[in-house]
Amino acid sequence: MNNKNLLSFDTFCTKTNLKCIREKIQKFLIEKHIKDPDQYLIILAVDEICANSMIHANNEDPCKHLSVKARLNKNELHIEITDEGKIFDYQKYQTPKIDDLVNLKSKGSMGLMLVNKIMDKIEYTRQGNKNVCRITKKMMAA
Amino acid sequence: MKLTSEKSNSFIIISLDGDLDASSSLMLDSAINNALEQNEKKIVIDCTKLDYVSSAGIGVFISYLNDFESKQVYFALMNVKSNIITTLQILGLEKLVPVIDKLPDE
Repeated sequence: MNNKNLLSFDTFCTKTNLKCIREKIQKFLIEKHIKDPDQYLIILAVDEICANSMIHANNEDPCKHLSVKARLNKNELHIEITDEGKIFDYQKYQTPKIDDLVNLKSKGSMGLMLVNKIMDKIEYTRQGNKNVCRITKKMMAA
Repeated sequence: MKLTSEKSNSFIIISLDGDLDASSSLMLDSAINNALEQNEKKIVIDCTKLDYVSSAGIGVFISYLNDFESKQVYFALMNVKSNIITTLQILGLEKLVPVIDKLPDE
């Protein structure tokens, strides 16, 4: 479903779909006159949430659905990402320290850190058997 | 993403073209690992054609910083686009991951 202020699409939990997700979000943001660096960073935030859902909640199961919705309400951007994977308890998430990641030679754990710094609000809820992540950002008037 | 790796004097230059994300980061991981196994001492990632980097890509750089230090390997990102620089800055990595405009002298 697509109308002027709403983007909505479904995809599957395969990492190769991430580029297509980014392209669709970018097209939506361009239509809303949202430019770089905001455009780039919002795409990055969506990519991070989707990658986490695919990898950690759904074990990259290509049969599992991932739903993405975006809308610009006045000057506030709302994006909702829904997956069918195992529960993710955001309350237990602790922002890692970069020094610790370097020492542990960690390749992960920075995605949510980025989302937290890019977006104004991040909220995870469990609805039935689905994880719903809502991220919000106030935009400057175009 | 396309990845090419080539030797230029004492440097091993890994050139990235496209998007470095959770889907493609293993390619970079493998290329850096190979360079270290071959005992390369100067590794430069040419980002001239790199349009996008997610945390998965940055995580690859982070995971090798200790090895670069312990093995005394010179490492830098070259010709990095401004959006990617911004991402590094958001994470507070601008001082940990060196960024250069051109290859340094031998």
